[in-house]
Amino acid sequence: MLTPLSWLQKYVDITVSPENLAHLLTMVGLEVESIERFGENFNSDQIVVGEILEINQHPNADRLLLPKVKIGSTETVNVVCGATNLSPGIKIVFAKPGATLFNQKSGKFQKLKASAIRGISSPGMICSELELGIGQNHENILILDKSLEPGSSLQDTFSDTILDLSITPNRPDCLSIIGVAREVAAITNKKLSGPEISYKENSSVSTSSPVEIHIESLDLCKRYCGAVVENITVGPSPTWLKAALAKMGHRSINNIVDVTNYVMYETGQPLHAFDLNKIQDSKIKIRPAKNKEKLLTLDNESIELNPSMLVIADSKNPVALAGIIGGLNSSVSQNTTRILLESANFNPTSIRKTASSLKLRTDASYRFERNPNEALASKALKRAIHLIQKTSSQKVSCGKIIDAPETQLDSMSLQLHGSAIEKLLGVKISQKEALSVLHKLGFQSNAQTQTGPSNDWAAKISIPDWRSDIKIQEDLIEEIARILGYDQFPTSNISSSIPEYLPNMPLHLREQVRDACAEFGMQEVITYSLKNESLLSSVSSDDPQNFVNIANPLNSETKTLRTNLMVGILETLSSNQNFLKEGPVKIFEIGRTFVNKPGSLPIQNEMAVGLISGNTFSEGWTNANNRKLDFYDIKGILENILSKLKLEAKYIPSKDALLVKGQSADILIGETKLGKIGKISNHILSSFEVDEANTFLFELNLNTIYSKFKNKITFRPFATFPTSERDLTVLADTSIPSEKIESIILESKLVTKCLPVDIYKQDHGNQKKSITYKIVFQSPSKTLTSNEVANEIEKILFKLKKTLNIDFREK
Amino acid sequence: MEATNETEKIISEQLSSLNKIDTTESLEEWRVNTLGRQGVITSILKSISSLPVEERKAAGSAANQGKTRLQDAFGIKQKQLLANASSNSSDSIDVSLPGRPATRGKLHIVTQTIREISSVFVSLGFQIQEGPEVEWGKYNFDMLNIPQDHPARDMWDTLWVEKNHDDSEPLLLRTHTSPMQARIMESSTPPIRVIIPGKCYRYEATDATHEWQLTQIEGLAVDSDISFADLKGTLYEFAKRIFGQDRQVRFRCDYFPFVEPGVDMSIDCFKCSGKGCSICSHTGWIEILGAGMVHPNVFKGVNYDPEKYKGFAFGMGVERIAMLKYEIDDIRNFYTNDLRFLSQF
Repeated sequence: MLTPLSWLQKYVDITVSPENLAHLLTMVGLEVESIERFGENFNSDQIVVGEILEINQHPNADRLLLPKVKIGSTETVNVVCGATNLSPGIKIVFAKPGATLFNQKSGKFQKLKASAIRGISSPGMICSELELGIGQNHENILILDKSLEPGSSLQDTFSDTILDLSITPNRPDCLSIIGVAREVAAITNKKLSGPEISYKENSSVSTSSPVEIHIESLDLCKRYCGAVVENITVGPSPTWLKAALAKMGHRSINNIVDVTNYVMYETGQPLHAFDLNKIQDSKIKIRPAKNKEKLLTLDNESIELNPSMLVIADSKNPVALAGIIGGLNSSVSQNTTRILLESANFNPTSIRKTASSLKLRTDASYRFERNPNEALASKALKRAIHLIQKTSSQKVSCGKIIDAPETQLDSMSLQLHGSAIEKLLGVKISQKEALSVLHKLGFQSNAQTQTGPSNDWAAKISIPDWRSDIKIQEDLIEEIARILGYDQFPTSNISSSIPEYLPNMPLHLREQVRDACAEFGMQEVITYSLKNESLLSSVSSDDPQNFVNIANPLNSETKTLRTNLMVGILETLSSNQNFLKEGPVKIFEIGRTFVNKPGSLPIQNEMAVGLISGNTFSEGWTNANNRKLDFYDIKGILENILSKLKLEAKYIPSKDALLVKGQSADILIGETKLGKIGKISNHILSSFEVDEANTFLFELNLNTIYSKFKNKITFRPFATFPTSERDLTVLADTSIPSEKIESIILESKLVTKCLPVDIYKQDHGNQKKSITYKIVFQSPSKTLTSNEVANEIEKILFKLKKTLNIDFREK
Repeated sequence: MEATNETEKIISEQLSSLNKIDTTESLEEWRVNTLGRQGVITSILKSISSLPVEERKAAGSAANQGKTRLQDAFGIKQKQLLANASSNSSDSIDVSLPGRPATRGKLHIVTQTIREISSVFVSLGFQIQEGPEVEWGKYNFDMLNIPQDHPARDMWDTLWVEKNHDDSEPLLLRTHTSPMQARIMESSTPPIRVIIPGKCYRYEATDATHEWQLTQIEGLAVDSDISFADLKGTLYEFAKRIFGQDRQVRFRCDYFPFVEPGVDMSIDCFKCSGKGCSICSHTGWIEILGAGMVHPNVFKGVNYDPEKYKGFAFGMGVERIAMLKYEIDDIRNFYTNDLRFLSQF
């Protein structure tokens, strides 16, 4: 809400600086976003009123004129001008050399220099709104009131300070200059003076221009006030009105339309003026639109209507979209002689729905959506009539205000208790202080004596009609608190008892996984949860039917919620490939994934993905053994993470299509799948434009971890007797996983550790591999002799031969 | 006793002169002067016979103990000098070269900031909970006193989930973490003191200060005796711990449909100390979070008696806090995941 201080000043005396006023308003909830200076260039002697005395043709150019301009009591100048709306006798804005004007070509404000145009010197310029920096019109020069004195300054009219206020949705009353003035009066202890609304009524108008108003649905239109004004002459607005609208960033149209806009900014009530001659049968019907009915709006746009939209119609056609925009055909034009002024109150929800479905947001719809008070309709209408009579010729006559339906407005009241204030704010406030704040804001009170034993107080508070946002006692308490100032209230520490502790195990475990991922060398990334649908389906094993899609996506790249974390991590690798020159890229992400579940919220499981890519190489003098990262690098990281959570996993070859067959595994905890690990397929890498083939990842479903995690650790005594180490080399089918051999070796009660230390594949006729295990023997009860160890090895070998057909291999 | 004290003094003088020795030559010189035939110890031992009989025993034992200490110290010093001598030449390395990099990852700056903020509130008795990112419309709006078709909904531009069946209740990506206020109150009874960190989403064009994906931390405290003063005290404490002990805070009126009174908390600009600069838009103050006393309609929606219970709620943007703290000038950095950005924190 733009608020020019000169306008505000009409209703309240402002005695503080603009900066201070901005601070005060911000503190009470009317946040000032900026303080702007308007028409600063008018503050100099170089911009003055000029009078066109005569107009001559430029001798060297057909399209240029050479008017003679009076710019002082005796001073005149001849300047070159190209505008078409010049005529002798009019008053204009004249800029002398040195004046600051907006230069359309450079797009900047510049100092005007005297120059010669087509051989004729031009010591100054007749200005348009654009050149003056107060509007967009640059084809025509700005025409001023005839009453202005040539040579006089325009500073008071155009130069202003404007506060740009951000008005929260609960305060429709402050979408008006008067509303802001009311707040200023309350916070600076000043009196508010309302605008003049008196006007002359002419009873004969109801006979010369009878109008019939009919509201079809009182739900959609609570109140419709109308008045007929006859004998009007449509023309340019007076200078003060043009200036006022210019400051609001609004174009001046004509003296009638400008008044309706002025009153809207002033009071917050949108109004509309119809050319009564264009209203068929002088009948106004407020009704739902018919299906496919059309309206050509003031913006010259044809819109198609439907029965959910409310229109103002004459006996045949819609003439306006209620509360949003008028129709072009019934609008006020140069030839209009009598008008119907409308000031109504429409259902906010209906206005909001219509405006958003047509994507047609106007100053009027913005205000009606916020439910302005009903009482405003007749007040604003009177103010508009007053201004039309004030700015027009004597002949203008106005009929009686038609108020449909005849409205009786009930005033609302609330009970306020001292004890309620104390309970909410944590401090006692006296009745006197509380009521004095409310009175300043226009509330009225009726103090009551308290009948309880306490020293509580109570009062009945009447809510002023413009404060429809005040509905409960807490709203009143906020009014008191914000005007006294939140900073004035005490602070304390919560004294209530600390709530019972509820462990949040998933969060605890997830953060452990997160710490472990970083600890073991990976950088955390966080990517967007929404992905491109086809990219997601290329890496997802989920049926696209189960994707959760956005109905109104920002773009196609953000249409679908991720079902796994692959897309994000691969995109991150792709965009960071440059770093592969400096060393490996190791990244991880933890986040939610989303799978549709009809009739309920989507399944929102947490997952973790880790990815490594490139070589072990890292830049610098220490780099000696550079090799490609491999499966066992990513597996080592994963094992570390799981061991931190005391989880033991099994790895079995995976058939996952996204991973390279033979270099990938499913990760199992017991029989439950925890996730997958392996080398990423080339076709996946190439669809993310990743050139590095040595790229490995693991993906874990954290919910499995949450369900498998056992919190309890029990101390195990460790044996103190000496250990014996033996290396054992076996020859096994390549298809037998080492893990199976290890588990058989570990079945021996005397074996405490079994670690593969050397592996090589050799063609021993039929695809065999040789593995050397370092085995540690230890007895819990005595020192083992070498015979006992040898016997135990014999037993192990026998078992290996029997179960897996594995041979002992002599060195 | 005088002789014994004198002996002690001489011994400690010898020890301290030994400490200063750094060459084998001066060590040998010290040995001759102290422990040699003509050395100080020998002369002390010789002088004992001239003492009165009753003092001889004590003086003798002091002298012998002192001699042992000096001999031990001499041995240690001798080894030290030998070790130094041997490591001097070809074994020495250039200690100025960088060390072997130990691979280490880092947590995302958003994670770090969530943890930092959370730890403040945990120490004030708040517990951490989380909630669904895809949420029912009623929790995101209706139960927070934001009815359908109310202009207040414009405060949160929403990404709606495509309807698949004829779900009567619309699904959306939560626009704030506030839906958890209603969910938590529905499923528990006061006292309540929780914070809820999590991702939120908005239908919003991105620029340097706006992102469509963001992280919020919500807070809620409810009990029979929670007041506006507690809100101020708790949030003031938070601001001081995150932004520094000497921060000033400012509370002003603001509007959020689910609180009354509504609050906006600002801190004085840490860059310009309130003088006005580009970080604080020349106001001297920086908005940090929105807060307020829980609206009675929200209590009614979860079947709490608004006469009996009071509470405060607050919500803040994690990225915003991080941007202020680390002077990050573009919010889009957070989810672009350029390693040059992430590795800085």
